[in-house]
Amino acid sequence: MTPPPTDDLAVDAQGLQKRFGGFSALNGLDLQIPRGAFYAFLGPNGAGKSTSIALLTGVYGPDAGTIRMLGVDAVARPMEVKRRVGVVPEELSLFERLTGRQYLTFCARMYGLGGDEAAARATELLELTELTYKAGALVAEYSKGMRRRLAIAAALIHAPELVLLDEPFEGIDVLAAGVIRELLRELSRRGVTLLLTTHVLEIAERLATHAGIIRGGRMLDQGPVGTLLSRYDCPSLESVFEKLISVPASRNARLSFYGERQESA
Amino acid sequence: MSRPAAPGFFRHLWLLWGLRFDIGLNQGPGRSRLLAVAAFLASSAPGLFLGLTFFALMRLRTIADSEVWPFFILNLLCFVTFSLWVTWPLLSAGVDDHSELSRYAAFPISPFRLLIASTVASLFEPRALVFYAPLTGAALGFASVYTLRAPWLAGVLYGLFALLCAAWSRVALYAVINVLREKHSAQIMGGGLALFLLAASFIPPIDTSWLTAVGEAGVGALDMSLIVNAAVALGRVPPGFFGDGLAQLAWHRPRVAMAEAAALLFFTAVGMAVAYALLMRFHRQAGRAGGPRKDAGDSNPFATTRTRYGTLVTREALDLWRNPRARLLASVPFILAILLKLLSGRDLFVFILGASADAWLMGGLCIYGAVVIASTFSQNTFAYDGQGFAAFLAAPLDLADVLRAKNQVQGAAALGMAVLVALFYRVYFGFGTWVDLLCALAAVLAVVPVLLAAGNFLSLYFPVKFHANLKRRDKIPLTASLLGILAASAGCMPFGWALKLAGREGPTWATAAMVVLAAALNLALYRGVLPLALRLLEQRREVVLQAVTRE
Repeated sequence: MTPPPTDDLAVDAQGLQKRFGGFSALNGLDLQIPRGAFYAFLGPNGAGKSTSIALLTGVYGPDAGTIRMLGVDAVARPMEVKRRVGVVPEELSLFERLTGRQYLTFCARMYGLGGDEAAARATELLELTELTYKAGALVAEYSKGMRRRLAIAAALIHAPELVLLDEPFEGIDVLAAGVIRELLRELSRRGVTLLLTTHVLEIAERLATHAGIIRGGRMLDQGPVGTLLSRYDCPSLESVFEKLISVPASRNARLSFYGERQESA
Repeated sequence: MSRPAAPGFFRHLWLLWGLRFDIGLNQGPGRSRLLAVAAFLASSAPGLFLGLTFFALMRLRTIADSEVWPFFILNLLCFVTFSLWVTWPLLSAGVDDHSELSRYAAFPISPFRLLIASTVASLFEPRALVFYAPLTGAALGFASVYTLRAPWLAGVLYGLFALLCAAWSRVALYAVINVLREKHSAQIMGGGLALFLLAASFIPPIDTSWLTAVGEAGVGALDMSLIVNAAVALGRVPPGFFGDGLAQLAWHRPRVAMAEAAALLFFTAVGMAVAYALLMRFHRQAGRAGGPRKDAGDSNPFATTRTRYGTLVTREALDLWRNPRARLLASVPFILAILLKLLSGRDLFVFILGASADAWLMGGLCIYGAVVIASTFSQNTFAYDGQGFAAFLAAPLDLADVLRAKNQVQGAAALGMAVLVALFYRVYFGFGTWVDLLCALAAVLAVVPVLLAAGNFLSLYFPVKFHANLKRRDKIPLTASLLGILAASAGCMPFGWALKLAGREGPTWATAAMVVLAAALNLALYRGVLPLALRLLEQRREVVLQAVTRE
């Protein structure tokens, strides 16, 4: 029996199912994120992380299941949820022919902020994400790390209570990752609920207060990081992850075409 | 924390229009806003000319005093404007920035409102100035000659007509991208074409005997009932409701005009509903399937290639075959040929060009077929490679072979297209001699080397990245487009000159020989400049890599 919804949870998704043609991406996923938590959403490729985020952000509707976000039914009242949630998608579809400043201001206006307020927040976020020196350049001229930071700034422009970040550390350098990490820490300190998907378990380990591990569209386990570590008697999230996700057989492939190493005498 | 209310419809409309405006202003070379405005004004100049021409035409005494011509012109322009507006976005075959829902997923705006607002905002695009100019000029000219009852209703009719065009242009675009995204898009398009061909065969040809009468006794011999019937017929299809509505206002029948406005609104609403359904279908299925899934028909042609160059050629061929835009473009000449027959267009060409008509038509369609394939892909030859270009650089192969393989495949595809189009024309129309056929194919042989030679340089000087997933609409620099058109025009010249020399008597073997000779010279030109292009490729490899791997 699924537990009743509670408003102490920033995200309360129960029994989520989603199919794409013949492929079942989510098979009854349950996801509970307490308010103020920094939740690391982990799983191998194709496990259903991005699909889950797409459902939470209303990009797709679930085939079955319920989603409550910040105490609001996200399927029935998506607009109310969107006003309070920020999203950093994995695939960054930014408007390339706008400058960074124009892009952030446009995003702010789309959330209903006035012109002056929008411009002021854009300036502050550009500074925070260390993009001020590129504020007047077209997004098309931004590097991957800069785009990622701009997308995070755009997700924060309306001061959301909950931020969903899909692979924000993918393909970026150490410096950009550092800026993002600090920003996320600061948000967490300020009580913003964060959901982060990442393959870099070390980052999840350093930042997250809670974690959930998903495979084949099902939640294998979730909870506070400390609880998970003690439940599986593991020293790190990485080992919990490895314990829950079986190692693929291909890791034991033999590389037979290399031949055996010839030891010199 | 108190939050601002989500913007209302008109605020969204304003924001989305502002977004287009800013993007437009940022398009200028080096991001010069002044240059962007200048380019906009220069590209709008033909619109001003067309508008003024039609304004003056409607005020001409001969036209203004006629009881038929003003209505025929208005209704015809409604139909042409609608057709142009609907078909124009199809050729790009990609979702533009403003209707890719994922870009707006985070914002508090519903997909339906986004569709409506972005569709309305699309009417304020610069191209509207050119596309709507003839009809606007004609309508204003008409209004200045006739006294309209309830002139405000004319404005409403105009607005609704523009909305109708915008709505159905979305329907066409989303229908096409839905088909192109399907795995079996080639089969679906082929089947659709066959069905279209079958349906077209049941439609009786248009009576063109009047052409003979006009040819023999001048315009005075024109049977005006034909024009009246055409005006009435064009006024009965939804786009014609605007022209007909204006006529009703001139005849002081505002109630009928009101009914036509209501009909325009109805068909616009139907268009928006269909467009919304198609967009949501595209959007819903654009998600990653994820997980391992074996494709039953997944063959591996690379397992059987004999040389590295053969592997490169196979890759290029496969890449072109699987490119949804190539499939779309390949179908266009066949559709044009069917439409030509449906409208009895060949008779008009025979009337104007005599025995040369089939050579001109066959050559024109073949060249078009070859040009859309050769120029679309050869002028951005590395655009679809993306990170694959980095793989070429990393592999122990001569980069020149990559370009040669691309040229070989694109040239062969263009020639193959031309052969298919020529055979289709010969079988479908039942006209055209062997000389016509030879002239048409030789014309393609002449134009393809020029396109490939120019394409190589354009690809290196103006490298761009294209997205194969249809979720983006890619833009080619204006200069590159203009140079490409110039190259295609230069390549077509021998064919044009040879047929012009042949006159109304039709081409002879000598005409064909002239075009073949030009083709041989152009081939020599291509071979002559290829080493330069290969050298340039070595010099600009990093520039190209940077451009095609850009996020």
